[in-house]
Amino acid sequence: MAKKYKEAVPADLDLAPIMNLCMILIPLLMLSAVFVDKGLIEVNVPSAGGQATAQQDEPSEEILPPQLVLMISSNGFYLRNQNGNATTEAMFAQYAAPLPGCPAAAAGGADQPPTVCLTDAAADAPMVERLNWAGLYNRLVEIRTNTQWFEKFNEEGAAQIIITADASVPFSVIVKAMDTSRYFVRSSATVVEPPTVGGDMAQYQLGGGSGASNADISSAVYITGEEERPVGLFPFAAIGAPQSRN
Amino acid sequence: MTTENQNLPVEENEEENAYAKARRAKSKARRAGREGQAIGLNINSMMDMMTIILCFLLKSYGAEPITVNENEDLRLTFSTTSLPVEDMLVITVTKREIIVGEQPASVEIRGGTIDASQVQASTNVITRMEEAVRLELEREAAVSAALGREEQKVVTIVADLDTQFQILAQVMVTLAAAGVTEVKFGVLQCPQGNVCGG
Repeated sequence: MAKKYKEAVPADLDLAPIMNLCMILIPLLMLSAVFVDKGLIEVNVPSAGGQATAQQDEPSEEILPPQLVLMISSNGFYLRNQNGNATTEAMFAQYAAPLPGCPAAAAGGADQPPTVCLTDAAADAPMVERLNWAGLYNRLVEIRTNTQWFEKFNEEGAAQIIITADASVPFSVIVKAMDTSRYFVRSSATVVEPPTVGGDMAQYQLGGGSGASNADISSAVYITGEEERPVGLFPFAAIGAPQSRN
Repeated sequence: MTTENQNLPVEENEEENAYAKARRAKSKARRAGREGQAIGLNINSMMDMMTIILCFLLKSYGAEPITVNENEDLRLTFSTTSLPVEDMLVITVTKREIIVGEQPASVEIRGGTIDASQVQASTNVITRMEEAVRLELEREAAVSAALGREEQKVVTIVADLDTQFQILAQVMVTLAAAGVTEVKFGVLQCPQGNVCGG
């Protein structure tokens, strides 16, 4: 009888051990969880023989789109054309020249001046703040929207930029350069249609082409085209070997 | 007490009421104290919440194709890219070393550079890393073959934000030498128009 009575009492579930486990697991998982999404950037692997060799062999004077090379150094950005065609090279000279307001080439000087010079940030500021990203973006827009090259960039769908840098340039600067050169952007206050050949190209530059600051580029949003996809500026990035900038 | 109350006719009722209230409250508290032995804390709702949080956290922990333990030696940089992460071989470049997959490739980084003895002078290939990458790719190829998937020689580089370009270039050349056809950089996403991190 006594045994029967014992069985009749409903047993209470002891939740204390499960609670203890939860109390430990939850903070542990919360600490290890990163609440920022990770992403990938596609990069083209540099070929052993160097790029654009096929184009260099062509003797014709056809207006080929430039094979853009962006060199990042502690003096600023250098833009060069790796496409050895003489016509293209002559057309590209204006884009490799320093931006208005940047120091021009010193007479007889061995060092060429950067295409995009540094901002007014203090000399001990991080490199990301010292480089003029808005200036670089505006110059890239000028190249990309050049009427003679515009269709060719589109046709081939291979508006590639080769990014190279001085040995000591940090990885964050390389990533920022890729971000800046990937898509067309606009200031969030304006509405800009995707670029077309012969259109007013100045409207795609930040700050109307001059006076744009790095704050403008970090607050800008993409210009979207078909299917709400961002319109590519130089969407294909490759990492080049460190090279001389002259 | 009664005489006192009679002398103060206006405040009398109020005072008596207050006294009665206090007594009632006291006896109620006493009753509650006695019964309190039987009243337990109802933790059912808390348990429900915890179970949900636990499931959510476990899922988000397990579903990440790339797990990066950020620490002092490995801080990721922000990018506006919108390409989602995929499961592939990860090369991690921290401030101190290069890790291929899960294994350290015995390549040390001191003062921001790799020791010249570990790099082939003519080609810039990091010898030990190349071997490690080849081994990992072979292993992945065997797994792909067993699963009947198409073999892909794709690699993600997860690098500390202060990694110098020289090391990055050496790593890229090494990957190309090891037969990698596609390289991606692993970063933290920061949508265009937002300000993230520093």
